[in-house]
Amino acid sequence: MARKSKVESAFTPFEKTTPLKRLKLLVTIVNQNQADFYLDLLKKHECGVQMHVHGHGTATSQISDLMGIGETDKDILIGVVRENQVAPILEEIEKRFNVSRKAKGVAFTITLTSVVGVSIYKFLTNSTDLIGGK
Amino acid sequence: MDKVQEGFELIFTIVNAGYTDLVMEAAKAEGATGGTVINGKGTGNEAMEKFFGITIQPEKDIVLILIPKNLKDAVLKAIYRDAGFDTKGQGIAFALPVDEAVGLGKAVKDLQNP
Repeated sequence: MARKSKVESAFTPFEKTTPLKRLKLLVTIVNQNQADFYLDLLKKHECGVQMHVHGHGTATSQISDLMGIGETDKDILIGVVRENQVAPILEEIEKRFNVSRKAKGVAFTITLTSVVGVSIYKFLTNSTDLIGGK
Repeated sequence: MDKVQEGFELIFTIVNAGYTDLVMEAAKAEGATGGTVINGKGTGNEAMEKFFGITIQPEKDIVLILIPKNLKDAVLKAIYRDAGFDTKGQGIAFALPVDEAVGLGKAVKDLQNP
């Protein structure tokens, strides 16, 4: 009996039992007060974590005068998404960028190389199958 | 999604607050078109400060510059020269690989394929 329980409690690394999904950091930089659309979009695509920070652009006044864009305050949205979600999200973001000149922005992704903690990984991937949800 | 662009790097520079101009001027001289600044607060190591005889100003600015890969080395070098650790900016710069990017203007695309 004692031997059996020892076998049962043997440690198996999470990545041996579950195929891992690659995670990416999605950064979106847009004009101020434009953030809500992107937050909703990320929520719709089951993005696990999103962060919203304020910043400002550094285009010189000469250039901005020329292009008629006086506004330099920016909203920066940082979210962690699964790799397979990146393409549809970027597609929708680009559609939004083309709505008007004020809606213009930049979005890009960076691959995450490590995550520490199985529960954190499950949270970031927002995989309901892994956390026993629907 | 034909407009997704590859071959970019994100240059991440942390400088003392108020010295973002040093970074942007250096980067623009090498071909960067613009950047985004975020305010932050550094958490320096006091022992390190004593050892090197410098004071680390806690207020920091973070400058994000998205740039084509072929310009990365030149821009990083320029930032190091003009806003690096030996200057008032006391900047730390590093580059992260960007997988896909959307929304970049024509000017940036031209830089990528001169």
